[in-house]
Amino acid sequence: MDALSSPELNAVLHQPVRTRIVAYLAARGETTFNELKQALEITDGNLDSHMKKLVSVEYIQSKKQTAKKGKQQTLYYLSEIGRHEFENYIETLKRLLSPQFLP
Amino acid sequence: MLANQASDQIEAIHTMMASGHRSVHMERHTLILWGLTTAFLILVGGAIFTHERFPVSWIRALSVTTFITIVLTAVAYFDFYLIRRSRDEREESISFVQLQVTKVWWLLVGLIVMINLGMHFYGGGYMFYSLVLIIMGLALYIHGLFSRQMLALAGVMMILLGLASITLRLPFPVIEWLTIFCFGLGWPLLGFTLNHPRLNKSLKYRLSFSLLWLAIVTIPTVAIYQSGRLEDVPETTPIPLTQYLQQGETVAVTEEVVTIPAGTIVPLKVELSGDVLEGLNVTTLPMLLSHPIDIVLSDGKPDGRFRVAQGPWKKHVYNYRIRDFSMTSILDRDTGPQVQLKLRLSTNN
Repeated sequence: MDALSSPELNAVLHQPVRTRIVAYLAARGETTFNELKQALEITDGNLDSHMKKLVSVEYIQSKKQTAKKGKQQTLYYLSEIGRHEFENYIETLKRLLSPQFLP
Repeated sequence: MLANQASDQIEAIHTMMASGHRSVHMERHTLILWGLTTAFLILVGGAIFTHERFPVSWIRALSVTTFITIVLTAVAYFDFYLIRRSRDEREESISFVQLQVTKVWWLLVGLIVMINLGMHFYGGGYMFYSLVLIIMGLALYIHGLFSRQMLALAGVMMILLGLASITLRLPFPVIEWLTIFCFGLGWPLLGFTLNHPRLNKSLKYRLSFSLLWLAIVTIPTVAIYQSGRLEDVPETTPIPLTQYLQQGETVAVTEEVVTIPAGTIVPLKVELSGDVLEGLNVTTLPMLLSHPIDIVLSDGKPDGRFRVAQGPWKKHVYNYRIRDFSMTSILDRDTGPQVQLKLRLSTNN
């Protein structure tokens, strides 16, 4: 890619819901499915499909935690790869907003 | 086109990151539990740990501190247990930030306990409840920074109330009742209204609620203080000191008011002791009364109520103060070693 060509955006992250999921996790640390659903205000099915996509590319990892009464709780967090890709994605967005790419 | 998309995405990232950072949630029960416990401790603590029951000051100090520590530790444990239980029920986690904010909360509560202990030995007790308001206001403010703006606003109001009580030199009972109503009434009210959608969307509602909250906390305080003051007013007419001295002990009156005129010489008995200086006897200093004073006698003994120059009736326990205290040592060739003690006796809170 030369200096004047459009920078390439990460296809996985360049999707509004997935961007919001990753941004939320970057700030929050770890969270449950329910909390994510409330924060994003989307349906279970919609969130589930995007989570599956992010887990499949290893941007998001999960771990089990035993809650009260022995109930298992799944916590989701951003992996090192996910954090790195998210930072690169933000850099790319910033470059797109630089004067050379503005109409 | 691409630049517009990039701009929208960056805005969405900002919004979600802000939402992620505001991951701390104040549970309703936390405010109710801590608020009612604090109000209970203020109401009951003073009645249990009296000078009569615990005449030795360090024993009283340790007993109060132990009692407060046990109660507050139990509350902290129970509160955290309830937080975990409600989070589990909602399938939510306790974020890292929430854990840190909780630790800060406990540290500030611990600081209040330590200040209370210190004041038993070093004085300044009349400022204690003002400090409680300021420190717990700070705890609410810090919590509010990561959770609800309304909490931060309530924290600021408590800090301002604490500062105002010191700078306006409010009478001790006023500050005490203000603290009781702040915690016993104000905190549960905050707990019940905190998650109301309007409070979290509109600044106008938050400010209106803040004013209502202030009114709910201060109006009962003023009402109780005023009714207490009316009870302090004696029903009998003052008699001059000369008449009181002449009538002797033959007249049995349950309550009487004696006016001591300005210009009366009042002997001040001084008993001093220290780690390197020991008083050899009780010294009596003659003092000139600059204003007339009315004192109330119950069953022939002063019961602590007094007023200066027809002013409001006061209680000595809240108003006798030693101010501007200083001690210097002098070694003079003519007079030898001397210690100069300067202090001002005040009848104003």
